[in-house]
Amino acid sequence: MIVKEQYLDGFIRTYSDAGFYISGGSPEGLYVDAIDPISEQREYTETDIPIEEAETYD
Amino acid sequence: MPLKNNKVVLSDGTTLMDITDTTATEVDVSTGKYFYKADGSLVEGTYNVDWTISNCAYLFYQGHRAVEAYTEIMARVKNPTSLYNIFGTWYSGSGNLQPLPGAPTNIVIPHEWDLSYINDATGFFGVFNNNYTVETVDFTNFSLVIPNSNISSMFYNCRNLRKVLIGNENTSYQNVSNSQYLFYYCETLDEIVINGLDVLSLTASSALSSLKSTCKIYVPDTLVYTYRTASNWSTRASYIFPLSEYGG
Repeated sequence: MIVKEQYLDGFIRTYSDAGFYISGGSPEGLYVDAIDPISEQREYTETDIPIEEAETYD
Repeated sequence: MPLKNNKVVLSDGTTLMDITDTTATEVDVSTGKYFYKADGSLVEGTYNVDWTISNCAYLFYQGHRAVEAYTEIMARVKNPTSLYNIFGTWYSGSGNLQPLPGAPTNIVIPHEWDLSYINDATGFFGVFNNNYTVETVDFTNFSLVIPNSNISSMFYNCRNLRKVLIGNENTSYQNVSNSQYLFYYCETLDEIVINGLDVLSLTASSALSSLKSTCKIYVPDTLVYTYRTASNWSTRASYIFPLSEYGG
């Protein structure tokens, strides 16, 4: 399910609570999470693509 | 001594260390003086092998080669097929990690490197991952030809990084599909200069998290508004400026 929560002053953070990429945004594409100005009124859809764990190396 | 498929081959047909195996530490690339065979035995003598290196994944990983022979090895790179973690993990000490003594602090990706040869979607992953040493990076020849490229963690945890220049007026970022942790924990960054034809998509808010609030971001004049309202860039809107105002 898509979750939207207020972020700082004037922004909305959007993400999937099921660990999937969301689709939409600017530039349009797949996002792990997206923070947008409220004024842009961007809408996202949840995909069925799971977010992979990012690699890092020590 | 001929070079075949990036392997150094002796006249008797013996294949020495595959020099595209950049994780190997045995090859003395600083002098070309000696090579080790794959079985570990030393081939003594002086060889003037005009070798080049294309697969640069991990080439300077942990920094030892950078300390010993940075300039010479960089000059050997031709048509790189991968820069995966090439400058990764440069630090000294344990616990309170410090810059690696003797390693370069200013890195310019040479414009002679033709990045259209990058043949893997992860070819730009973690290029400077965990590099505590580098302070400035000039990556103005950056280009992305592989669709769905993963450039995540490119500058992950660069604890002394102050300035990054990335892209030029011909660079397109449309092939970026993953830019998580792009500048994650780059707490000392003062300036990010991004040139290009379009907006570099930040596919996760982690890309800029931990950046100090005063870090200035310069983008092409025609894209300033687009960046200021772009997803995951917009929280930095008041510090996004036109390139024409960049002082160098």
